[in-house]
Amino acid sequence: MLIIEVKNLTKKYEYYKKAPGLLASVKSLFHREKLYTKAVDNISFSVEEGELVGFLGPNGAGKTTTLKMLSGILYPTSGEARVLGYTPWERKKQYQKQFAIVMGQKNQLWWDLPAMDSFILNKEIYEVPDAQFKQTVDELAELLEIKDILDVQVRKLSLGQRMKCELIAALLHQPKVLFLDEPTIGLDVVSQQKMREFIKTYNEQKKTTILLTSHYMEDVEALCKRIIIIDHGQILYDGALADLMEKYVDHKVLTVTFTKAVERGDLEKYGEIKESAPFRALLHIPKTEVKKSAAAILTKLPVDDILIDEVPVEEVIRKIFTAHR
Amino acid sequence: MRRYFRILKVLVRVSFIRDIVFRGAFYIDLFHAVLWLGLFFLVIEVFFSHTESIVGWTKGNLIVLLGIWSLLDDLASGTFWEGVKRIPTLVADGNMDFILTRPVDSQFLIAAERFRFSRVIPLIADIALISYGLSIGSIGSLWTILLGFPIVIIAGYLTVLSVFYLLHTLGFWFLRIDNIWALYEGIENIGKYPLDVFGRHIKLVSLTVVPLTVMFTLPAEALVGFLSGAEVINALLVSALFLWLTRKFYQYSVRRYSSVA
Repeated sequence: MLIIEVKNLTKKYEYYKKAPGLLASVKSLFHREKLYTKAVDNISFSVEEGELVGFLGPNGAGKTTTLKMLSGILYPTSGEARVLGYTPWERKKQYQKQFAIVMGQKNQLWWDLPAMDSFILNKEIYEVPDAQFKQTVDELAELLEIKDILDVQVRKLSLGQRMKCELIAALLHQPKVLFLDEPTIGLDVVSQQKMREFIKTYNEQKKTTILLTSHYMEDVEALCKRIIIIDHGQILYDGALADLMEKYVDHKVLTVTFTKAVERGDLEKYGEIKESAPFRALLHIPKTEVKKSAAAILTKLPVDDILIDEVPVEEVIRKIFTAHR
Repeated sequence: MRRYFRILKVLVRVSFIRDIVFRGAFYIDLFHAVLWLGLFFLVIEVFFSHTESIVGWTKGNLIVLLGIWSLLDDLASGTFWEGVKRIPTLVADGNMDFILTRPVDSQFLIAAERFRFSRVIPLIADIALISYGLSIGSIGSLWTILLGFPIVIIAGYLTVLSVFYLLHTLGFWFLRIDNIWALYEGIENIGKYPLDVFGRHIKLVSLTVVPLTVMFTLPAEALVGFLSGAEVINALLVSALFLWLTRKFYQYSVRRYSSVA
C-alpha cells in the first residue's frame, strides 16, 4: 500500500538581493530586487507502507524542504502530495495525529523543564490514553536507555540524551509515518550507533513508514535499503542502495602491504594505482578482474597483507553529485 | 472542546511550575506592576488637586478607568501576552514548525503557551483600585453592572487579545520585529485616559481603527454609569469583527511561513 505519493512537487522561495555596503543598504530601503530559487524542482516519488527510505543530498539540495512540505509546514509552489491519503498542507487534524517529525537541529521540548512535562502535553494534544502513554514512555525509555533522565531539566541533558527524548515525544502517539531530519547530527559515535539501532528496531517492530535525511553515510548504509538522491531540488537517483553500487561502481579497492619494497612499475599491470609507497599500495581493480589480480599479486609480489574492499558509498554519491554539477 | 481544556490545564500547570522555578523573575515582575500602578495613582492625585473633573470624568471615575485599564493589561499579560509575543521570534527562528504540525489549533497553542502567575497580586490590587474609585465617585445602576459590565469587559478582553495578536502576526511579513509589543504598549497607554481629552480625531480612531474605547473606556463607563445600550452593541460588534479579522489575517499570514533550514 502506498503511504506517500509525490507528483511534480515544486517549491520556489522568493528572496531579495542584498548588495553589500552602506549605499546599497540605503538604496534597498526604496527598491529591492526580488529573486527566486527553486528548492525543490518537480520531484515525484512514492513510498510503500513500512519502508525506510533515505533521502540524501548536500546542503541546500531540497531534502528538508521536501520533508517540510510532506509534514504540512510549508505550502508547495506547485505539484501534489498525498500522505496517508491526505494533502499535508491542508493540515487536517486527522493527518497530523498520524505522523511525526523529528528535526536534529530543532527542539520541541521545553528546555527549562523535565522532558516528562513535554510528554504530558503531547499526550493531551494527541489524545493518548493514560495506559498507552505509560506503556509507550516505559518501553521507549527502556529501549533508548534513558529511564533515569526523564525527570531532569532538558537544558541539563547532553545532546544525545536530548535527541532520545525528542524521539520519545514524537513517537508517543505511535505515528504511522515518521519524518526524521538529520536525527544523528552532532551526536558522538556511540550515540549515533544507539540512535541507528533504535530507528531500525522501531521500523521493524512497528512497521512505521520512515523518511530519513542524513549527512552521515553510516546512517544510510545501516538503515536504508532504498535511497533517493536529490541535488539542486531534482531527484538524481531513486532505488535500492545495492543497485546504486551495482550501477555506478565497476571496481573494487585493493590495499596491499609488502614485506619488501615494491616498485610502482610492478603494480601497474594489475589496475589503476591510487596510492603508492615502497611498502604499501592502493589499487582500483575492475570487479571482473579482482580475483585473478589478487591471486597474481599474492604469488608474484612479497605480500604481507591484502585487503579487498567495496568502494565506500560516500565516494559513489560524491561522484554522482560532482557529475551532476 | 474538552481536549482543549485538558491541554489548557497542562499549560497552566507547567506555567506555574516555571514561575516557581524562576522566582527572581516572579518577584521583579510583581514589583514592576505594583510600582507602575502606584506612580499613575500619584499622577491622578496631582491632577485632581487642581480641578474637580476632566472632560466630565471625576477623580473617582478616572480611578475606575485606571483600574479597568490596569485590570485588562494584567489579564492580558497574565494569560496570552507571553505566548503571542513569541510569534516574530518563532517565525524568524523557524520554530513555528512544531506548532504547525500539531493536531491542535496553532493560534490557540501559541496564545496559551505561557501564563504568568505574578499577575495575580496586581489583579487583586486592580480590583481594590476599582472599588476605591467607585466608593468616591459615581456608580452605575445594578442592572448596568450585572448585565452590561460582563459583556463589555469580555468584549474589551477579546479586543485587547485581537489587537495584540494582529500586531504580532505581522511577524510573518516582516523579519525581526520582536519588539512590536512596544508599539502595542504605546497604543494601549492612551487607553488609560478619557479619550475626549485628545479631541475628535483620536476619539474617532479609538472607536474604529484601534478600538481603545471598546477595550478600556466602555467597561469603565459601565461601572460609573455612563454606558448606553448602543455602546454595548457596539462593543459586541467591534470585538467580534476584530476576532474575525485576527483569525483571517493569521490564517492568511501562516501561508507565508517559509521556516528556516
